[in-house]
Amino acid sequence: MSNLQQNIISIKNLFKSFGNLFSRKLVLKNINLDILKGEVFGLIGPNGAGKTTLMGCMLGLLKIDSGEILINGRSPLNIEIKRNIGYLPERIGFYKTMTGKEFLIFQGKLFGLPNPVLKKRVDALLRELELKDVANCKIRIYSRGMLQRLSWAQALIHNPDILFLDEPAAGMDPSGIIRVRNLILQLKKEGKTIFLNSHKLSEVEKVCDRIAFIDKGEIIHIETLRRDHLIYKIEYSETKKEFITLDMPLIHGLEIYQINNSFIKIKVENERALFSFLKHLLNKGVKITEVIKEKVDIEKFFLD
Amino acid sequence: MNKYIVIKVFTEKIKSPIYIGFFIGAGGFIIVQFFEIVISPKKIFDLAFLLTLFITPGIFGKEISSGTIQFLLTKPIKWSSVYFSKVFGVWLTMFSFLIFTIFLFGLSQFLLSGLKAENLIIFLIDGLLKLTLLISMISFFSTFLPDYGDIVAFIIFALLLSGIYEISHTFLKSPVWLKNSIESIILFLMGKEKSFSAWLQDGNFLKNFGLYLARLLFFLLGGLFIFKSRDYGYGQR
Repeated sequence: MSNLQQNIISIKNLFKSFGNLFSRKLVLKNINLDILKGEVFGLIGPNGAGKTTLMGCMLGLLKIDSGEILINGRSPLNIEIKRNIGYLPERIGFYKTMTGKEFLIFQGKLFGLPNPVLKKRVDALLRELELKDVANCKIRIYSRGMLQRLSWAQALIHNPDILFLDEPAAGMDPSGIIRVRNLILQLKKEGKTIFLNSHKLSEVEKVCDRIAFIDKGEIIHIETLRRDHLIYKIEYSETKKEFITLDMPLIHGLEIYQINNSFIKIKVENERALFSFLKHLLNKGVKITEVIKEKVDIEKFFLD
Repeated sequence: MNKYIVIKVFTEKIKSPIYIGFFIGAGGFIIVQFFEIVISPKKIFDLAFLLTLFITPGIFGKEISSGTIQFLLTKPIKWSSVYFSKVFGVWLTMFSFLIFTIFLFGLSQFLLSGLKAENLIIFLIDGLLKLTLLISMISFFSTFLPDYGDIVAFIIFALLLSGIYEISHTFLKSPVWLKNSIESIILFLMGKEKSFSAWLQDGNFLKNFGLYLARLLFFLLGGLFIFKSRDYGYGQR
């Protein structure tokens, strides 16, 4: 994580509402987020939670009521900042009279790419995203999956450092979803910072370093996903939960995740931390009945 | 202004069936002169105004409702540049229509009766000034109305103002200040008073030109203000 420490996106006390002078609905409430350079940050939540609105605010497409959004220390509307941002929208509208290739060339020119560079980028992206065969066809004949891939291509045309992906695998078949997953992981390897919205928990889990849960316009939890983390459920005979944690020594790499009078769930970085915790329980005279290793399950986090 | 957006709008518009249809229609207008049917240059401009009413609507509204505007607004281009580039793209389309038709018209007139070139230039300037104003007005409505709501709003706006003007002119006798105020506002917004050729004749060229410019800026900058201050998210379509 040593190269991930620089803060690249910072959101402070963000509020956003929609409506008119007489009636307004608050859709984002006091959002605070810091996204680090090179990380893949996922925003998940139910439909209507405010995911796309938050992304719209971060891109400057939506005006905020109060608060601050800074990308590399500057406003998202700053021209130099925009030069480094790629955006994949959720709902895809295209200039349907253009061909796929013409569309990509137009997008590249808007980023100010010189012709030789643009030509290479367009050819490479059409090949990588398997659009070469339909590159000279009008966009209106493209399938939903092709449109999604074309949208990916326009987001990557200028090789940006920061990517905003709104439901990146929407409308794709299973092989398309795997392709998107691999693409995100490849971009992560290249050092890109990625902010993505999704409601597909299983997909987010596979690519994100951290995820934020958003509901009714509020960030309710931010979780760091460490794939090397282990979760253990330790069951014991009826014991008051306060007694379990009383006089507990500081154990490095251990986090209590759920506790009640009959079991405790802990998240540990390694088994040494588990053994230290078990030793603590035995020293206190707690009767352990079972230790169960559980899979890290983002869906459980979400439901909890 | 961004040349790529201007070119995109221009090429898209001149390839549209409505533009090609009008172009052929204007050609027909000119050909009939050879059969000794008198056509005034005004007819050509009337055709241009009509085409403007088909070409300009949806200039922003359609992009906002389809979501393509997001592709433009997330690029490293100032929003004001996006706005003016799109308006200029439409203006260029109409300019090309006028130039080509006026050239063909002038040529045919010259072949038939030796028409004086200066008459055509005055007609051309008059047409361009009016088209520019018309485009700016429809663009203004397009910044906040969806799809083709702008043209509907423009027609209602024009009819409403004309109606109020006629009522105040015919029925409202007093107070005089109210009658004059209503009429001034309407004259200002709609520019009903004079054509360019009349500007030259009445000796108040600067005043007329100033009024025209103020009217044009009112709609252009008003549209820009709305364009820059509105939201472009999913809930706003």
